[in-house]
Amino acid sequence: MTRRLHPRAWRAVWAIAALCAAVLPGSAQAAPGETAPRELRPIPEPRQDLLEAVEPVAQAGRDAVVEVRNGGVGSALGVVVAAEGLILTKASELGVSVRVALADGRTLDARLVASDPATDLALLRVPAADLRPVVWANGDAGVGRWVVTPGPFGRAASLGVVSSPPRRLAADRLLLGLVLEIAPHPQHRDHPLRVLGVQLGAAEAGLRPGDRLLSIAGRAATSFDSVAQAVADRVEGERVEVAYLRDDQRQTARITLQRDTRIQPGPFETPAPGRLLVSARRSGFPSVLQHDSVLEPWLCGGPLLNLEGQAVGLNIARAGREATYALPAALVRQRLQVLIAASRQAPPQRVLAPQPARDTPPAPAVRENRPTPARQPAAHEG
Amino acid sequence: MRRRRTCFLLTLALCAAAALFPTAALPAPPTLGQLRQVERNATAAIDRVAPAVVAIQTPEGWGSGVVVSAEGLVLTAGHVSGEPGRRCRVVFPSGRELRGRSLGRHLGNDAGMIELAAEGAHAFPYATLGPTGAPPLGAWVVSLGHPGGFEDDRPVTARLGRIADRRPGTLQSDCTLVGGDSGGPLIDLQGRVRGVHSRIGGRVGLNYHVPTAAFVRHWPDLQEGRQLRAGFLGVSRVDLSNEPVVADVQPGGPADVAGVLPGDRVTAFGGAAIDSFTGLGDAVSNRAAGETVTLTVRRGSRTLDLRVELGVRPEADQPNPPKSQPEALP
Repeated sequence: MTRRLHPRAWRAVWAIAALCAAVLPGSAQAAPGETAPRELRPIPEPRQDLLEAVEPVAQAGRDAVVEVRNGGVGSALGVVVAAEGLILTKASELGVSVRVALADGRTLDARLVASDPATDLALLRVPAADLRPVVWANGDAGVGRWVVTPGPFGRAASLGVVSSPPRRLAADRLLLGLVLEIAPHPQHRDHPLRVLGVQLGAAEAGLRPGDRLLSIAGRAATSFDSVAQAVADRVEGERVEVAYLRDDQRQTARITLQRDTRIQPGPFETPAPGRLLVSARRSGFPSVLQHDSVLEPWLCGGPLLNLEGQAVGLNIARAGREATYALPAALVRQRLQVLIAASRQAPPQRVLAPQPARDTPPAPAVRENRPTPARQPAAHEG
Repeated sequence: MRRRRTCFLLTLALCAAAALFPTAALPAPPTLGQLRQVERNATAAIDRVAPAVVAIQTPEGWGSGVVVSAEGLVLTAGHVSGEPGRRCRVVFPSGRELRGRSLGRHLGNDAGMIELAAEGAHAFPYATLGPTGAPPLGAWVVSLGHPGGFEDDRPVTARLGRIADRRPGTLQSDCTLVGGDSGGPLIDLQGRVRGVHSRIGGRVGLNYHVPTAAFVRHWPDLQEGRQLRAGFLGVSRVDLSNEPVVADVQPGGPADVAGVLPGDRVTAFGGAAIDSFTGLGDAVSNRAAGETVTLTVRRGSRTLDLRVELGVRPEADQPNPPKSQPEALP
């Protein structure tokens, strides 16, 4: 299995990459009016020699591909979905200050219109009315079909084939951080579960060994199964209310769900040495097309093209040595309509907000952008 | 981590692996038209073979395999099948589940076999074996298997790539593999089995497969449930050289018994030409301990054919001997 980076570790790596770009001499792709964009990092793998053959495919789709930048450095790609400046990208790669570099060289401020936690899509708007939207393919791309990921400015960034047809992808296992005592006898099963140890979110929320669990997210915590069910189908970072007994007093706390990053590989499951970067958000999607394109995580968020130059999907995550995931075109188009409808109900905000920790009950399917006073809007303009 | 399960795949050391990817040896890049033709052939080949690709669950975790006979003979990796006579669970893409029993395996090249246990008459979907010669460098190949282990709602997954290196006992491709793929087939664009996934290196382009020839060579032994160990010669190389010249002979070792002398230059092993010391090592560990093989050497102006009964290499109890370590004695 591949080594998976903790999100924070990934950020650190990203920052180093950004630094390197800043000190490199001027790049051939520099767009007017902007600092030189980071050079497309060559994928140090053998499919490089195939990219030239699919350059016409990438060129045909170039106008619909944008580079989404945080602080002047590309953090994702985006895909133009309407001539009036609407762009879809990967929500979890957005920062607080977002500009979008278009294929024609313009670099524009972007506003977050709406985002969809289920698919990790974000809808951006840029002040332009003459963009050329992507052409979506009808029907799914079959297994074994070539798929091209165009990079910014018309270059082919990666080539792969469809590995498996669209399927639902369950979320990574999320942990409360509670070590619970197994009830030794069936007749004890209705007793409150005793906490033996606390880690991660449970420790941060102030739970202690010796506490007795009463309920999680409003459901009685009477067994391991009931605890597991209470946290099933939630997303990383979500906060879950927990009620417990301490010194015969009922107390409550909110535990932030965290991904388990400490599992050791199995006996034959050696983590591959060497460099492998994956997206921080790479699981828990309603439908993904799996393909074998070797892609840097910051090249997600843009379109995935067939050899006819039509978009069969939107790259949503680099997931491992063998897998990159794309949301199928049909799903993207459907969510786009929902996002546009949501944007009509709420006027767009000037500032992009980082995703706030979600409280129980789960957030609505599409979350409108909410202002976050904690951030300073003016600092990021211009 | 979506689902953290034990899946099979071994990782090779990074150091030597980097030297094993001769990109320069690949043919000229294809045109877009050629890529379209590759796509047509690959999709047809995948459709033909996928029904015969199985997921294999053992006490250690998930692997893959490919059925190669209507009676249910399965080729897989030796580190998936495990010790001969072991039980496992086999799942077809159709959802059909059967019990399997491991037959033989080769600890040197990681070839393994499993037979399906089924009552009465049966006709399993199966794939055909390709020619035993390794595909040429740059030949298009598809890897099929269950990366990360079996998933109910995900069919056999495909990755496309090209042959990047071919050695006795090992094919290398840029079809990306991960744990769970081990034992799955590497097929050519005619839909024929050319190898079985075995291990990976430190870079995405380093993926290793057991060539079909390794199964064919020891087919009866594997089918009869024998556990074969990598062959061993007992010679050492001249320091810092990859010439197939014998620097020293292990006293009493197989080469010594056969009459090999320091200074001999090996030109062939089992009739196949040898042009490097590492090539000799690959060829020797692809054979089995106890086999008798003809070693052809140049001694001065003479050419000698020596009959060598291969011994057991000291580390042969490891499922995957460290082939990439240049210091290892062949």
